[in-house]
Amino acid sequence: MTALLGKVLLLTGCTAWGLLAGSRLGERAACLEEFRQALAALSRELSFSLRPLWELMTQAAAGSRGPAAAFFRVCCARFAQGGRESWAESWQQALAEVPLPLTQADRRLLEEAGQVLGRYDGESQRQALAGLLACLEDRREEARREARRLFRVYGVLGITGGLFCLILL
Amino acid sequence: MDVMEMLPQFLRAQLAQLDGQSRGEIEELRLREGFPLAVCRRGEEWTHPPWRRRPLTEEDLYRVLETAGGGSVHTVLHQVRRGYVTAPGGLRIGICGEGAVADGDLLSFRHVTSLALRVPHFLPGVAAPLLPALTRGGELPSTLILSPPGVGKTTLLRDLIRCLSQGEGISPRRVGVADERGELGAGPLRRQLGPRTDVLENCPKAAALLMLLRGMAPQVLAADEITAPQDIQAMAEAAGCGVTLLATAHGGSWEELRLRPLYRQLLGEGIFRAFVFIGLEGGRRVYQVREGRP
Repeated sequence: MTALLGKVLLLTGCTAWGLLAGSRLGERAACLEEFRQALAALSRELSFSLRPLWELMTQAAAGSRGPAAAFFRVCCARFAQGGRESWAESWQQALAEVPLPLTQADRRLLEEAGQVLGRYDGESQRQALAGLLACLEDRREEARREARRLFRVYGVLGITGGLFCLILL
Repeated sequence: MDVMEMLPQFLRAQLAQLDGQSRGEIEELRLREGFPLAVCRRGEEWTHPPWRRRPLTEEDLYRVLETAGGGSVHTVLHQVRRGYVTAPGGLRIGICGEGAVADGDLLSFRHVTSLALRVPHFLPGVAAPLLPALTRGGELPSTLILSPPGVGKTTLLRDLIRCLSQGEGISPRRVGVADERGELGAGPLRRQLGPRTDVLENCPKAAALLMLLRGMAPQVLAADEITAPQDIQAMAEAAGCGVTLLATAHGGSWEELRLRPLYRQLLGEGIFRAFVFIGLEGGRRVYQVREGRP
């Protein structure tokens, strides 16, 4: 009876591991979507109210959830230290400091935003962000497709791994 | 809001080396690329000896502008194109350097070589000794404040607005302030201008005066530094509507004022009935009140 219970637990554990690992793949797409929404809102404000970046970032932090909100909070806090860092530096440091479920390519894309924000007139920034938003959308779609595909693979791997362990035992 | 918060760390560190009294006397900070920081006190430039070891770089100057503008060029670009940036709290920074020009308009600065930071002073009570000479039956006539740059026109105007708004030594009045440069009542300064004051900030002066007139029904309209014909036109229109005007202009004397065509027109129209001249004598401010048409 104990042996059977152990085998069931082993199989369940491996399957859960596979599904959990698969579900984490969706975090990247969700994070990219959060950044896309926040930057789109920021871009709209840049062409309308011309409010300073710290106000827009604070709004973005309040309007986002998860890692993107943490990123905007850290970015604001670093810049608010008063002339120690430029926005570009604060943005770069926040990217390095906040754990984001993103690939290196995603990070490079976001780094580009940091080089533009606050440095030019509203229209130039809006144009630069428009290109970036399109790229973010593409990457989010690619992340979603990959997450869907790999979720199944990880689930199957979990079950297969569990069965393999059972056979070995 | 403490203007020190609007300065980058390296400047705060340098100013912290001064004693409290010296810091309180600062009227302006002068930053020039290749030279150490200098401060203006009682109209004189002075450099603290320890600062002489640290000449400023262009990067330092950019850092000052970035901190003052909240790292947001888009927010302050219209000011940069007029040669200044006003930080929250009313700290105005004049900019000098190499301009980038297109079609005759200044787009931005290619290089920044000098900055002049004018520290705003809020001195409640500075207008009180002048009120008996200025008012008739508790009413203030339209008044023009004149002085050379940096002597205290804006500080006096700010306190006159506060007195009118609070009814301190004068009948209380609803005051509309056209604060084009964000020096009079920008951000937290607004609350120090009294409970009956409405501030229209960062809007061209002439347009702001007319907007206030149309939208806020002011009894007094105030504006800093009359410099353009359209400002005078807007003031004349407001004066025709029975509104009392308060304004400042650059000028050390009647003679200087009359030499400038713009002010000749202003004086000729008889809009202002009282004039306050501010001068410096031995490092102290001296106020002189004159009434009637020149």
